[in-house]
Amino acid sequence: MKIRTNNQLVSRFRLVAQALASFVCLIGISATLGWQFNVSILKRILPSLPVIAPNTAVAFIIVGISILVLSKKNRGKSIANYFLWALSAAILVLGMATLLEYIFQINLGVDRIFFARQMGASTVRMSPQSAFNFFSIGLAMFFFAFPGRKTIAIGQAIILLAGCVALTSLFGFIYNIADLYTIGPYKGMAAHTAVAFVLVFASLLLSHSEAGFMQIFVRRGLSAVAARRLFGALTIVFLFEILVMEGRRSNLYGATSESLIHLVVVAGVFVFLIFFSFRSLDQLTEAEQSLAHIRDIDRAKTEFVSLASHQLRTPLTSVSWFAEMLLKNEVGSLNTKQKEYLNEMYSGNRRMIDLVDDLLNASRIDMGVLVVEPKPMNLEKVIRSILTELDPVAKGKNIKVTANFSGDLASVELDPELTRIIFQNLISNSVKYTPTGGSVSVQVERMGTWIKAKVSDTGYGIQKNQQNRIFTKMFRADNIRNKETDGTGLGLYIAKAITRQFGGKISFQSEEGKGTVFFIDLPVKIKGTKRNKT
Amino acid sequence: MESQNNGKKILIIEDELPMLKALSEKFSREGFSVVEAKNGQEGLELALSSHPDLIILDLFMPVMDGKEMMVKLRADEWGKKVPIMILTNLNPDDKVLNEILKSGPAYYFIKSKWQLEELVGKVKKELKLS
Repeated sequence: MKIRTNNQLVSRFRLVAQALASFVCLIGISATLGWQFNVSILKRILPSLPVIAPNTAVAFIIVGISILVLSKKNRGKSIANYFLWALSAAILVLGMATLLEYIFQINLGVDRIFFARQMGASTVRMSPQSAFNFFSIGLAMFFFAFPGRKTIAIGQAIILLAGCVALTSLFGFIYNIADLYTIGPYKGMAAHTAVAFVLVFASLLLSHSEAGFMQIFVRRGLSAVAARRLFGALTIVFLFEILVMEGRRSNLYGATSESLIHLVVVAGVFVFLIFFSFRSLDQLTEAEQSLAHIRDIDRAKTEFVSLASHQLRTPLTSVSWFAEMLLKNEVGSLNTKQKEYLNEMYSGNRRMIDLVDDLLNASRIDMGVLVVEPKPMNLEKVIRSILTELDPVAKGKNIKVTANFSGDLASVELDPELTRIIFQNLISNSVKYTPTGGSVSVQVERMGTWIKAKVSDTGYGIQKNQQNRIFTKMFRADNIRNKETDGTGLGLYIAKAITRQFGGKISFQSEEGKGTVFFIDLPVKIKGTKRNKT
Repeated sequence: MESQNNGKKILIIEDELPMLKALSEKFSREGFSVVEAKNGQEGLELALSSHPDLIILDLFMPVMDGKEMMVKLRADEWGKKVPIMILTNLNPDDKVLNEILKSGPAYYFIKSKWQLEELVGKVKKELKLS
């Protein structure tokens, strides 16, 4: 089943991503100002906590701006991508250089690029975790900058990995475990740095929720609702944990009460889930059901058309067969006038059979029951028989019909019935919509595993402003409506649907008053042997 | 021509009376000996008792439809080999049907697409009369 995405939600997530990115930018800017004007609170929040490194502050500004550009809708292929690659490369190099400094105990001088004067003699280097995080963010943003969806999934995976590191540091602050935010002899991450990282990760994930694993949150249907609710509940539990922990630290209650409060919080979240979420799940089920109902009605309508058309075929065939026997004088001879009238009845009946066939084919396409059964067939023979059928009409209008065949067309593997329908529709259209004295040409060529066909005429052509609609169901061009009343507007719709089912393609060029050319490409399955393209 | 076709027996199974009549009269005039049945049940019994040379079979019929009849017929030793021309107005969008078609000599015709004359030609070709 095709996954349907809630696009409204995707845009809303994108807005949240932009808000978070702006906030990250603000953190970076405020920390930069803190360094510029030596405001301690902007640099370290609490006196007991580590100070934010100048590089970290600047990097956050760059990352914030990058995410704002990244989350722009319909970025596609644009210059913005090069800009993004440059920014992500800068972040990546900064993170990597700092990591190298730590690993090889060297000084590459990157730490003193900004605010060297304010730092004085003591260099403030970003923590190893921060360096690792920036390295990951740079790498992830590099992948996000590609226009495709697959690369976004890679970016998301990187973010998840780095997110774990950031969350560990954050837990360190919350539970006051210095081990988690400092490594070895190095001082740890500043508090606002840890928060900013979590925001960056969230914002990167939310900026492209239509791709990768984030899709589980934005799908239409119950699974996404459940995913969102459960994730929400997890966040609530997490936030309450911080509050409860802080409460005990401020000696509002003891360890025993704390356990009880934990229990109450968890139970409360469960009650919330049961009471609000599962009720809305019911509502959603109802909505899905009414949608299913609409689909049922649509299907019933198509099935009705199909059944009615089948039923129509039976009496139409009886008329055709009895008229045929009369016309062949099988039960006594008719006079000229009788024969003439009967001929009119016979051809009127044949036209009706063709119309019913069109309706049936369209409904088979709509119901998705069009089964393609490729068999070895002689394509040239089939097309020649269509031309023979159309010969009386073409001769009647003095239209010159030419046909050109090249390559091996005598044994191609295609569905004979459906292939016939494609060419029958295109060639009969050409004859029908070409005025007296014109010409129609059919060219069919075998090129390796492809059939390349061209049906061209010197007919009325299709008006420019209607060309994009010619393959839609029931479409009939304005300029032929009053010239030819005979036609259902289903032929091209059917031809295109079948061609697509075959894995081929159909296109056209047309100029009003000059004519139309249709191009048909059909892939040919060759039984037994795999032939290379020639 | 008539003497040539004499002795060749065709069983026509068709519930629509005008169709049955048209087919039956046409094939009789062509010199075939025609046996008629109005549903699959009747057709199956007649087929097994009179062993026709060829069966013309409709699909959508009361009592027993053409598909069920074909499955039962193909279970019989003689029934495995008798050629069957399915003559219907249903499109072959059916996996079951495609399976049955492969179970022995069988051909599929959409009624409305063929003239009687052409059908006679197909039957004669199958019975090697032309």
